[in-house]
Amino acid sequence: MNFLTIHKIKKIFNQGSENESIALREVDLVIAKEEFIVISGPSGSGKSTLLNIIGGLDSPNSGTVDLEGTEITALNESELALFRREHIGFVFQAYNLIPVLTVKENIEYIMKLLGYSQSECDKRVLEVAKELDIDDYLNKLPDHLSGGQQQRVAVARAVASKPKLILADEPTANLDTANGEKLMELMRRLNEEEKVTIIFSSHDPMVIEKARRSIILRDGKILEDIVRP
Amino acid sequence: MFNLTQNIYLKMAVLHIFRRRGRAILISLMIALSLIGLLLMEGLYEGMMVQMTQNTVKTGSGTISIQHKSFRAQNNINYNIDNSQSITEILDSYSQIKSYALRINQQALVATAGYSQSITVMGIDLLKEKNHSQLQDFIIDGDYSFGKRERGVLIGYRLAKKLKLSIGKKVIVTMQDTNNEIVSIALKIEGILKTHNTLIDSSTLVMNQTIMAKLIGIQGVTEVAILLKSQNDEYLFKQNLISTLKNDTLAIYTYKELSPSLHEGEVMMQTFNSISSAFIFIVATLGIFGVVLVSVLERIREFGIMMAIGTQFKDIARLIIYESLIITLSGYFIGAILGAALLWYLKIYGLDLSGFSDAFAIFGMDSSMHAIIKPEYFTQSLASVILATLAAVIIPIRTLKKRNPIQSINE
Repeated sequence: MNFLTIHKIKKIFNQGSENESIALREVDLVIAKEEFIVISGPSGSGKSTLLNIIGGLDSPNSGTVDLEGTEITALNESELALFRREHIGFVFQAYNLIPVLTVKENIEYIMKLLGYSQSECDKRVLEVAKELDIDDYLNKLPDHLSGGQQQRVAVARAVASKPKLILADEPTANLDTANGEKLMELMRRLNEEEKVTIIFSSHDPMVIEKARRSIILRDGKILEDIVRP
Repeated sequence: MFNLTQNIYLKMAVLHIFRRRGRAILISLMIALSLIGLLLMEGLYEGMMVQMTQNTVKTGSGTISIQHKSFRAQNNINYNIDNSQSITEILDSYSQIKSYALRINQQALVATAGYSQSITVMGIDLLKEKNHSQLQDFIIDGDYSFGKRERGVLIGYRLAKKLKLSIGKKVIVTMQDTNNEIVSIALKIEGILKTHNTLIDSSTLVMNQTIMAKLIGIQGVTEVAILLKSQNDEYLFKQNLISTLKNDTLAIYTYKELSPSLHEGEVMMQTFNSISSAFIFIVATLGIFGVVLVSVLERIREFGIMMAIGTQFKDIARLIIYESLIITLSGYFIGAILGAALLWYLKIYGLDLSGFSDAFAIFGMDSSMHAIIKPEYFTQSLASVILATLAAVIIPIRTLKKRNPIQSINE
């Protein structure tokens, strides 16, 4: 059974209006468990839209997304929120940490929603924080961290609850080269050690070459699907 | 008990408020000040009304008045209560009665060398009245006395002013007796009263009941004025008294029936209070609404992130409600504590408005206003604040509900 099946996904923005634009044109894609995939392509090619639809953050005009037997596109908003909480971790380009919570609280937020006990949260947070080298900042607020540190916190938040899938939308876009490379190494290690499927988008060649499989999008269509040995 | 999830939203609500404490303090103060204003208005207005009612009830016809059933309509002293002793025996058995007084009231003409006026003469027993209407407390000049020969009289201060009378001056009082003959008596002013009961102050002379009875040839009294321990029980007491007295010749009135204008005044004050409360409630709701709306709109992205990583919308709504309630209830408690303290002060020391005493006296009010404190002021305003908060968060929450997480994040 496929881990993730995307079937004829079509997304049109501002449908019926003068500035109507087609973001995705009946995209088909099958992804296996524990893959480390990059979706690349120029700006406006539909990378982010595809990731948003896979993650249930946005809905397509037609087509289906199936994650291990659950048709995400058929879920309502409330079910989607629960599904994301339980199965998907997100890393955003702009980090998107909750500003009023400390680093530790940000990391354990989803775990608390999932009903983990405080001792379980403490143990897991420390484990992930050490792994990502952010254990010195646990009691700091996100505003007091650099961009690279914030992105590592975002990754920690995404992996802490051990989701099946991590979606990362241009995670290195706001980082310098060194930090970008570090982050990619880290995500690759998580993919191998934590056995989590990771799909990220990028148009940075340095980032793209780290992935084992590259899907190149252009004008809302898959142009190439390259699997590296 | 809060579980972990609820706890995190409560904590986030507190943290959000702390981060934006300037705005939170402003809205809390707005609610606190509105509440203090509302409490003072309610407490003082009600205190004023109670004072006015008590002044009229105490020095006038009491909470309950027993009269001959035709006396009020005919205004004829032949319709009097001649069996007052049997009535007082019954009244003595009621524990709800604070005091009662027997009086003779008759229309009369009071004249001096230069002026005359139509008035009511009230014949009382000074000693008994001392414990009932406590008229001695209202003497502003002279003594609470009818003089050595009992030919003295107490006069309302406004009537005295109009007739240019002072202590020691004499007046001629002319009345009709039971045989419809005109009788007159010369009386000396012994005391001047200021009761804040317009009828007493403007058009009443108080004289010795025995002398008055002899003068007009009346055997009984025209009124039994009763003061109850609790003014709110007057209707039930009246019904009970009717069934106990079983006397067809008697009529029993409540003070509301005898002074409909007083009752109308009470209703008017209550209505005014309700309108003012509603107005303050609307203003507070708009204030809360504005703050909550701005607070939600400027944090749409943050809420989008929370939803994206798995927070259900109902939990976001809960966070917004927690935040709003913490701010508004803080304002409520500050306002309630300060308002209660102010009301307590005004209950004990009163608000001195002696500069407007003449204007207040026209309406039967004291120049010192004493507030009243009732638990319902606080419970009603608490309910209003909670309702206003919940009403104010509906639209911002609906605004947020219309967006999906990614629209909110891209906001």
